[in-house]
Amino acid sequence: MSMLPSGSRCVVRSIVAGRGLTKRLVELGLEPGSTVKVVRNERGPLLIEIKGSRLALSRGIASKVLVEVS
Amino acid sequence: MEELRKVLDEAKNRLIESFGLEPDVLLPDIRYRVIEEIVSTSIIREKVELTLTDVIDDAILNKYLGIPVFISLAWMMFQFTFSVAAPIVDAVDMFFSWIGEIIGEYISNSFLASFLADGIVGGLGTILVFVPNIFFLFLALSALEDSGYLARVAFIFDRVMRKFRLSGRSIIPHLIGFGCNVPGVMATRTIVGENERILTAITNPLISCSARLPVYVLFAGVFFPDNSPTIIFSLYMLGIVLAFLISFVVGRFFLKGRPSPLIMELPEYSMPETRTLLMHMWERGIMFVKKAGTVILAGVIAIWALSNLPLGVKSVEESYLGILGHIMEPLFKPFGWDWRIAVSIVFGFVAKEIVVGALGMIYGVEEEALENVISQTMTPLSAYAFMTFVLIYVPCVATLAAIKGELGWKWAIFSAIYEVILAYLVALMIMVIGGVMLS
Amino acid sequence: MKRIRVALAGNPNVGKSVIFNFLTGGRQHVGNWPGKTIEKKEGICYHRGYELYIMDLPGIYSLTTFSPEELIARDYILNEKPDVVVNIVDASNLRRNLYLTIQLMELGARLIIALNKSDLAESLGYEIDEKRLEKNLGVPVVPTVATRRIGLQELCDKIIEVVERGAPPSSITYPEIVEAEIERIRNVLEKDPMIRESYNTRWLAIKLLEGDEDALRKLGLIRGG
Repeated sequence: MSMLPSGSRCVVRSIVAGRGLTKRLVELGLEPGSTVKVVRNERGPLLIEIKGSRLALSRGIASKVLVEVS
Repeated sequence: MEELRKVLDEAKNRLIESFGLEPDVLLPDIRYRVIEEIVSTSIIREKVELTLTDVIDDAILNKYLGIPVFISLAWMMFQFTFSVAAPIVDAVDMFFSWIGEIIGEYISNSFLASFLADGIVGGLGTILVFVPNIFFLFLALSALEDSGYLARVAFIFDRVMRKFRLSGRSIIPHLIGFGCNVPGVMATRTIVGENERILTAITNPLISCSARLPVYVLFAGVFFPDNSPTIIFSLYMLGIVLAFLISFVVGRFFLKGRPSPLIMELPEYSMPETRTLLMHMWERGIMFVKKAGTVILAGVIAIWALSNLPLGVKSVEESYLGILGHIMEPLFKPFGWDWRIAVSIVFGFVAKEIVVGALGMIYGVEEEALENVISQTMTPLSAYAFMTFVLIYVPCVATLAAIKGELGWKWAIFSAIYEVILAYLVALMIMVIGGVMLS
Repeated sequence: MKRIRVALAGNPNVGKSVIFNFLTGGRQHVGNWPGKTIEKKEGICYHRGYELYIMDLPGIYSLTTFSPEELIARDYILNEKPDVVVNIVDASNLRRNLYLTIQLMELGARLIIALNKSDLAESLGYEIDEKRLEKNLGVPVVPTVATRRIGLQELCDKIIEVVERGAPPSSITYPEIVEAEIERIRNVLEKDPMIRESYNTRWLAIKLLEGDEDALRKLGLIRGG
């Protein structure tokens, strides 16, 4: 997800992080099949919108979320 | 247990077969599906596409606007804190001086009078004089936080902070530290990663709090009359640079574990409600007064005792404090500081703002005449070294208590020790480099 | 005076501390949870002849054990068994907030939802049918705007009503396939009398299935301290 430009929408396919981090992200709303809006992706952390709330994610974490552009 | 393990494994396999997901991800997924069902008939209309928050964030998080907006808001916050509070501060100051005088008039036993006037009232005065500032600082901070802006600040600064092993949230305690290190350290509570929290708290005292300003103003004014703003600014910068440097060094070499990755929610912007703001301000303010207040009062009384004992002592030099100063004098020979300066340093341990008053008392002069006296006992170079020493050495007791409250004794002691050593080394370096440069 | 033990649970930033402060006023005590640097806030609220003892649990997103806050909250609800859990939900962020609600329902807590920040939700364009939400959840929903003190009286009324009425614990049912697995695990757990006495076995089954480390550790299925 870290490669998507600001303003794009995508759908989560899978998360390739450790158990704890994966579960945490899923519980915050990034479960497979959910729609994510990448609000901002410049330098630094990403700003995404998921399930109606805004989350800031470090690039490292965002790069572990595999998505499909919609 | 074995049966349990078997059942769990079988369940896991069956669920993977049915849903294609492992249970640890499947369960959250199912919960959200249930939520969607519940919500599909309960939410009649969804959020609009472009909200006020989107619009504001677009501006505030902008590459070019972000930092200037932050700097202006930070500046306004300090302006508000100091200017608006100033008349109240003056009033409190006058009130306590007046009480001190009354006590002197009405109580004949001079020892008791001194204890009450200089010890208790003086101690309370020291605390209460900056309490208005602190309350206004908390008010401004609560406004920034309740509105949702502070989360954006953490977002903007996250990348930079990470290079020094800190988190984006570390900027806020450091910002508060310019006002006072005690609430600064207390503010580290909201930082998520433990390492980041530790580093922010132990380097916060390197940020020049407002209590150090009177010392800077006095010495810079005496020894660098043409350049005093620049000199003072250089001290602030030195503090900031050292804070980041120490953070990096301690984080890299003393702490284990990788920096915590950032996952942070950015709430919607909303107009803070007055009553809620006042409630937050009061909550934090009272906690500060209780924690810092008791510690400082104890410290002032301790210092008073040291300077007025043994009984019947005529001058500071003969008191325990003076003796202590003489003992410490050889340590400060390389800087050309005499026992009086050493004593004022002990005062500064209790609260940095009383250093100037202490010097006045030690030299036996009013504050106005202090300038003349000082200019005769130090060189500009040793004065600059003194100012950096005051900047760096030991957090004031209240800050130390705050560090102990947040991180425990181990880190509080570590802070005290590393700062003394650092202060000594930096002051020494200044003397050496300065000496070389000037000859 | 009849005493009711209330726990406040909710995501961070939902206005929980505002509600806590307005309910308890000066009658609160702030300390630390044992062994941790996390604030423990408890207070008392007197309402219609009842004494409401309120425990403000740390703000959490979930009852899974990611952070000490989550562990504290869930241990409190499991061990101290408050009479009522008031789940403060941010109406402007409903879906994500309900994730915790669902987990509280898994725990079988006696639940009341305080649907807070309705004003913010409205200004964002949301329109929420509270009655429908109440029906869908099977749990009372009290709309509140804490910052303006709206709904707080009604919330206290509801707390008393739920306790006096002896309202049943909340519950949530999952798809059949999942329920079948939960039941199987539960049956194994029920065989051990010590486990049966100490835990809510359905909740424990769900947690074990989910791979919750604390649950697995407590049953000796993984190592660790």
